[in-house]
Amino acid sequence: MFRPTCIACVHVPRFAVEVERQRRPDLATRLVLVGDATVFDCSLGAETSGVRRGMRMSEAIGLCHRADVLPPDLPHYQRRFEEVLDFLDSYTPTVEDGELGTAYLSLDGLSDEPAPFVEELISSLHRRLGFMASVSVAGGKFPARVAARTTRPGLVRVVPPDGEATFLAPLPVEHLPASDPMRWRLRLLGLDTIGDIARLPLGAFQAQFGPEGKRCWELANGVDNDPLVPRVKEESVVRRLQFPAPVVSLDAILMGVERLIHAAYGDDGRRGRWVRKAVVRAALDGSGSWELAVPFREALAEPRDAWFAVKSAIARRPPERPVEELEVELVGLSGESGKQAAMFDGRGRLARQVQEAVRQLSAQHGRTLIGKVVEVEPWSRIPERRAALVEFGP
Amino acid sequence: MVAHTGATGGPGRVRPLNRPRPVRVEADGDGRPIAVHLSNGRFAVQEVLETWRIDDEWWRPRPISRVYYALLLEGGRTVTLYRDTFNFRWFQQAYQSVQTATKSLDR
Repeated sequence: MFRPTCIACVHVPRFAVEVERQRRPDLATRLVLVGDATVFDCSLGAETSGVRRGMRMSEAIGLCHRADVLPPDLPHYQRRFEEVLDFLDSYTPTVEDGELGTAYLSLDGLSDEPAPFVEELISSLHRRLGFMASVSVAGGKFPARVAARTTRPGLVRVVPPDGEATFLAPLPVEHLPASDPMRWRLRLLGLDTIGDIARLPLGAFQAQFGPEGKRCWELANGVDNDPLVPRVKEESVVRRLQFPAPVVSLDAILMGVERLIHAAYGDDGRRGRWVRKAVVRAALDGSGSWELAVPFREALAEPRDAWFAVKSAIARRPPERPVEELEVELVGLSGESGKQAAMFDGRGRLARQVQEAVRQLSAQHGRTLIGKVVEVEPWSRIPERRAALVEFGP
Repeated sequence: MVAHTGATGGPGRVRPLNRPRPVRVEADGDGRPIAVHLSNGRFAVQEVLETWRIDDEWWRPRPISRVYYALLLEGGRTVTLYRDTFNFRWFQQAYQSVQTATKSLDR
């Protein structure tokens, strides 16, 4: 069957809940609400009890009083979703990230029927990352999205070419990207299904609802020319550091971040390029994460300049709970800016000699044999918390 | 689209120093050490120089609760041991008071 445009929509329902369940297997059979003041996501059981996304949390707890309520950990969800997108990248070069848990893939040029290809994608995604997705294939993003959201996880739905309007016709108008006032007016007019809108003449409908109405009418008739916009994956350098025990003191956290910034700047992947932004992330004690993005006023070539900016930012907004793991990502790698980099790094001759000796030893043995003792929490009453050995870095 | 460097390494795990080492200890009925088995033999305890207790990280699943003993062994050797009050196992660990440890910061 020839299809001018072929788009697959991969949808992992209740993505935030799934991520939390992977992190805490004891939640697998429990009702889960994720959110603060309002519900960000909820488990299928909670949905069955009448909970909806965006609902006030107090109302949701009233409907589902036995649920476990978890604070949303958006950086972690986003990171896991990036893993899904990276996985999809291995299937097709054109992947667009939709909202959390939803991605669009271009299947243009696929010579075979899409169903077997997509079934293999679903099982592979489940094996690799533990997410069970529903996938649909259609001629546009909107019908593909609606089809994926109305299909059970683990299944594929292929909307036949030119069959988009027929597929959408019996579905409720809530699937259309209409504003709340427009939906209210649609209800008043007795237009309950997408097919009700598709049957109306465009002129009359547009006269009532303006450009938004025209867009909805086109979608209802299976016309969706919204192009697929591939995500741009930025090159970055990532370094991580795991603490032997959760660290409470800001000084110890800063010590870890400083080492990571120097290590990331020393990474071969940077290839001498300047850095426009650093993102510091932390896995917090128990569960939850913390993230701080520090954009620099100008691209920086020196780790100590980056460290100065990052240190000030962390001091203003430190992690609110003990830190188990730290990560520093350098992004916005670019050519040099107008600022001249230092010709010498300011260290003494002895320090440079030690560094060179360590480099030579590492080259000979394939790993760093030299460690450096750093004070972690010298005031701790627990002796093994006071100092630690870290790899000797630049 | 620019390729991802894939660089995710790093300084790796921070290795704590002065980690406690398990040691075999003979104790009396009150749980006080009377002899210590070190790598070069059994040493009777001549004197308990000092005893102190540390309770910390009580909010964690595995809190810390230790009773430390600074001991003078036969032959004049001194060691510091502690008994973990959760599993009643003995460990050897060098101990500096917090005041002594933080003096290094001022230098």
